[in-house]
Amino acid sequence: MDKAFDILAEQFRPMLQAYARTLTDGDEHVAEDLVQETLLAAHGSLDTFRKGENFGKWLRGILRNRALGSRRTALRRPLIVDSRIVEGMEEVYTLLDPPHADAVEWRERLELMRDCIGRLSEPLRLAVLEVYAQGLSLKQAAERLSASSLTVGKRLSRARDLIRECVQKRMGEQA
Amino acid sequence: MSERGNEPLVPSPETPDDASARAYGRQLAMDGLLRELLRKQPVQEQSGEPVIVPVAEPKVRGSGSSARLRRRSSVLLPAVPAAAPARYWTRRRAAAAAAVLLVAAGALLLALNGGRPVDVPLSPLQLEQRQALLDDVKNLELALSAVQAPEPPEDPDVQPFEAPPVDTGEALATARTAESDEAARFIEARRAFMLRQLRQFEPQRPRAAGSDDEESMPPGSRKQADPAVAAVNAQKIGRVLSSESGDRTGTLVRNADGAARRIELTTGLDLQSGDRIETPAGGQEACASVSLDGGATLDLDRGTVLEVLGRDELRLQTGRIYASINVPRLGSDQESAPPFSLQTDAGRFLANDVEAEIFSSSNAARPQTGARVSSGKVHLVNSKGHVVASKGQEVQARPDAAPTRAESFSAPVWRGQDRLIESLPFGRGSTVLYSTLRPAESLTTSYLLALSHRGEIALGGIQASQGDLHQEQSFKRLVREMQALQQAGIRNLPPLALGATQPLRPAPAGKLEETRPERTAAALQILACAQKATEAKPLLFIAGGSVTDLAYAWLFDRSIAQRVIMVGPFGIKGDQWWKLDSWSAEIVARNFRCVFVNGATLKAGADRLSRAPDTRWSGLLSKDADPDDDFRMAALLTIPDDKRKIVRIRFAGFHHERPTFENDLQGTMWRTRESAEPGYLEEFDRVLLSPPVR
Repeated sequence: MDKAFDILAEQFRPMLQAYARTLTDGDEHVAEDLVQETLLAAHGSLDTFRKGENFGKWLRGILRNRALGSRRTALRRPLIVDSRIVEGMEEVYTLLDPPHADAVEWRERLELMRDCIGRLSEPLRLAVLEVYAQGLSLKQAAERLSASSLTVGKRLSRARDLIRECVQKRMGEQA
Repeated sequence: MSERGNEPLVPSPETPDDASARAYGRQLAMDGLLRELLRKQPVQEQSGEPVIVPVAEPKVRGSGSSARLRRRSSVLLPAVPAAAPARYWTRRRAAAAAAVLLVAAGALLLALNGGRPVDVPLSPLQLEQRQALLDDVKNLELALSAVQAPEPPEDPDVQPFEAPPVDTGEALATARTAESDEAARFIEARRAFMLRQLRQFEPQRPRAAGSDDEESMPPGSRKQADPAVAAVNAQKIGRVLSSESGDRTGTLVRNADGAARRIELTTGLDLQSGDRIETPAGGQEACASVSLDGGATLDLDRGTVLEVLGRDELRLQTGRIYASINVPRLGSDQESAPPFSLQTDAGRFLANDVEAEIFSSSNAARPQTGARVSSGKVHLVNSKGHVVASKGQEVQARPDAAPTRAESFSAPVWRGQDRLIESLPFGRGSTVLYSTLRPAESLTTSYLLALSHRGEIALGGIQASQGDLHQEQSFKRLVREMQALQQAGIRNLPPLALGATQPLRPAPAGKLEETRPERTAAALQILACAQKATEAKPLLFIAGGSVTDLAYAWLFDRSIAQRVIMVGPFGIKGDQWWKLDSWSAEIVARNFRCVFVNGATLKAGADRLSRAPDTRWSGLLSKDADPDDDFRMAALLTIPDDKRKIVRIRFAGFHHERPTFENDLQGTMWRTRESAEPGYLEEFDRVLLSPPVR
């Protein structure tokens, strides 16, 4: 049982890390602690997991509760608690993590995004690569792309929407 | 939200409706996923499927959730590759060997220490000092959190000037009430002080005329008792700093055994309580200057008659003086120090800290007195009322009317002797921090500690500065010596602080302002002391060594530049503060007010030191410290300005990597050098080689 859980946990770890980082406003250390705590809590309450339920969604629920519980003590940055924002986040994660999905496929589905990035127009793709792959700030990316920060921000926003729509379409095709 | 630099990658929605919030959530989620997908992966040396490391219940203290987390985390350790390379195991073995060595070293230390944990015990003094420092830092952090440090002013030399009160009825009434309260406190403090002083005097026994003592007087000095000369117990309370010769020579009238002796007023003459100084009439120049132990320096004009009743009490019969009064603070409460008193026929002046021209008319029919205040504040009190005058104001009084105040001078201020500048930018009331290379081996340390013990100065701390190879050993010795002094009953011992161990390293590209400061104990002590200082009563940082810690303190809080004055050496032998840490020196030279001292060194003489009657200082009166270069800086506090030539200069950059300075009347630096015999040895003897002070 332990071995199976650990394998499962390792496969969901990237998703949880991304989720926790977003929830904690980019606080890497707190996010990492939250992921560890979540996996330990999930391991301890595996008997409450109902068969057929979405495992990723169950893990994210535990992580959210953990984050809320530790908000008073551990978090140094504001935590996203608005339920409407959380619902919006959940829409994206559910998109990549549909019910009854094989957990092993999660990482592969994340890779779908890479394919969708390649389909973006060049200004949008460059903006995504400069900011997310190179780790530049908006200002730095704007200088590199000879555009204003505002323009780069808008391109990023547009790119994120297009990538999400692309992933949604690809998932539909696979289904 | 997620951001790099100052701009969020996902801006929050402007309208917080449901759709916008959900869209914002989707953007955030995509932002997180893109980061996860595209972030640079760290290079891993080995790869392989994760394998569960057997959990052998690791020894983790505690039973809470964090302990459980640590226990469970072992199941999530990275896998050991099935075919691990040899270097992997080599590293594991090396790590294990290092751990074994560490454990063995710990066990050996325990065994050497008799099985007790190795712990250096702190003495009560050290604990107290540490707690004091912690308290200061706590206060400092609270203050820093409340106020953002402002940029230092462009011209830190600008002295604050109190704006005159708004001339409305209410404001005037409030101001008058405040002045009344303050004057009442001053008068009461003075009265209480005089009562205490009077108890020390025994009633004088009247002497019979024609006694043998009178016969023994030198010819020419035998005169009848002068009833105008006060008949009080004679004690040395000051001295004559300078006196004109020839036809402008003044006279000292001293009541000696019931008879008045007229003595020529000469430089260096001791003043006793009851002395009367008379200067010849005619001319415009000041013809004498005297210093009183109570903290006053007085320039006497021609035609002046001044009685010295005590170390802080004068009577101006006629003429005018320029008074620089700075009563040394006796304790932490400034109000507890009794004010200096100057009596005239028309009223009494009371002041703790003032520079003013004070005049008195001897016209018997209509005496009049007044003062023009250059700096500080003075109270004028008579039987009809009182008034307070600040910088730029003039007060006058007659015996039959309440004193009056004018908002401007009726005539230019007479400033006494021809001084190059008004004064140095501090007085004896300023708190002193002494930082030097080997504080335990400095005669100046002993001198400052003795001054503090006698209540003559407020010593805020002693620091072992950067630049000494044996800095730590020297500091430990100082701690031991201070403990011994404390046990011997020396009072007002200051906290000690260890300075930086390395010179300041500026930020890349030499941007000094962006240098990250070190939280050295000495820097924090400077900050704590600077919090209590003001621009008018600044903290004096005597730099016998480097100024690294002062620079760090400035980098923490730039506003201290207004409240701290660096006192340092000058000249060929005095550029150590610059050589030891030139980056820090540049910060200080560019931002702080500085007083540089050219002068002789103190040569107390090894045999003189051995004759010190107060053996409590013997530990610190090191023969190795003789001669002492720092004494000239500490002596600024006690030897008045009149002994010096003072020139205003400013920092003019570098020439061949050496600092250069230019004369500038508005400069923020004062360069001093002795104009006469500085009297270092006398001052040293007065404080350290005199009978013990209990």
